[in-house]
Amino acid sequence: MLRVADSSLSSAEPRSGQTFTDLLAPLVQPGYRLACAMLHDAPAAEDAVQEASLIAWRKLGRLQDQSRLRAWFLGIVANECRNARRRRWATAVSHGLPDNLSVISGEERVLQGTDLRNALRQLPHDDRLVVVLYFYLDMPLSEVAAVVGGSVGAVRRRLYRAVRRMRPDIVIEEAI
Amino acid sequence: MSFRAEIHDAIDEVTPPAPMLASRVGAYVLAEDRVVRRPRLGTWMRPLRGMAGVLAAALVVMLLAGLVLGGRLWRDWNTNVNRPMPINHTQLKALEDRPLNLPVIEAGAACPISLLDSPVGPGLGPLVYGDGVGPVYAQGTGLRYGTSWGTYILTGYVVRPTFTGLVLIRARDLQTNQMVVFAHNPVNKDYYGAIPSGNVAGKDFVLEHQVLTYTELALQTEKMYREVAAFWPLAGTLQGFPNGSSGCIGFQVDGAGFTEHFVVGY
Repeated sequence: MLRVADSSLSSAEPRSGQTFTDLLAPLVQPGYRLACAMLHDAPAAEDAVQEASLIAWRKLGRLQDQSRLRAWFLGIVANECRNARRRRWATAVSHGLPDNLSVISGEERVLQGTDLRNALRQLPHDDRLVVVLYFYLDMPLSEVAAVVGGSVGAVRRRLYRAVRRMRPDIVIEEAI
Repeated sequence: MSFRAEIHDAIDEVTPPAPMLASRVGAYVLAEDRVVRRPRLGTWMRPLRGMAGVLAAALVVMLLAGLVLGGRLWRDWNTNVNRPMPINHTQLKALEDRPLNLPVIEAGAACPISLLDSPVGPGLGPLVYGDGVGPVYAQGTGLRYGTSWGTYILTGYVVRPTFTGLVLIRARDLQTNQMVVFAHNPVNKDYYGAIPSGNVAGKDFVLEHQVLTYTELALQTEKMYREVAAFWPLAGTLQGFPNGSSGCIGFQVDGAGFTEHFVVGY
């Protein structure tokens, strides 16, 4: 349906519609899945992916190593998810909601009955990110490390800690 | 069930499919990106950067002084944002004289949403599906801005390159008969051929800017944005629906030799 042009990151001015189709478009769905897992809110996830795509598009020329494209893009998505949660918090503050009212969406409210999603949501951002990348997007530890900007060992320790918090009774080796 | 499978199931339940997302994001990225694109400095100009910095600082001081002395620049800015672009009024009048031929749907009845078309052509970029049957296609970026008056959606229009000339777009709510209004996206300083026209419908405050809203949108295809000459011309606009709108919106697109209708459910 769409013509694929011969474009690459090494070109001097790579930002054409075809470049988007070739490079970033295939990453939109993984980014959306990551954002849904991080935010549990599909519209907010779409917004996060959209903003992340614009940021990635504008900085695409600075990425030297094309093999890192997926990790680099997902890192931007993760950062946008973090910002989205902050904005949600800031909105709640600026609206002056009483303490006894939560600001979670109706969609999220439905989720509250599900222990695993609740446990995931209660993890700190970085812990949740490694769990989602490793268990949901099925990325190898080395690529997870590239996304979060740490070593493989640090990611493994974070993963162990996160799984332990989500399921204290689980045998870690069985999970990982 | 393994922990990994449990995670998959748990998250999949909150991840509805979004098959249009890639094309929508692509349209958004290309539309927004051009706002900040700047020509690169040639090598010979680099030594002038220092001087340009001093000049820029002086300009900033002058700008601040102007703002302090009466906000004149701010008023001029708003005027520029809202000022209609020159347009061939004879051609526009001819298109406006065509009757608006949109059906009326009873309240509560199903909205006859048009099927998305899949325009095909080199240089189409990330647009995979669009509203319309051609030569003009619309695609909402998904960005919505709410005001006390209603809701605005940032929408992109692309035109098949074989068509050139003036295009007129009018729309209304098929159930409530409320007119849809059009406004320039105030964040984007360039019109790129998408010109809100017709009667002024009102004023609103969108994206932290005051905008004038109009009852029609004109597209000047030769001024629309193209990544390269062979690509489909593209332009963006804000489309506004008043509070109480059913979201069942009928569009009539008129140009030389064609009239096109489609219905979108927002």
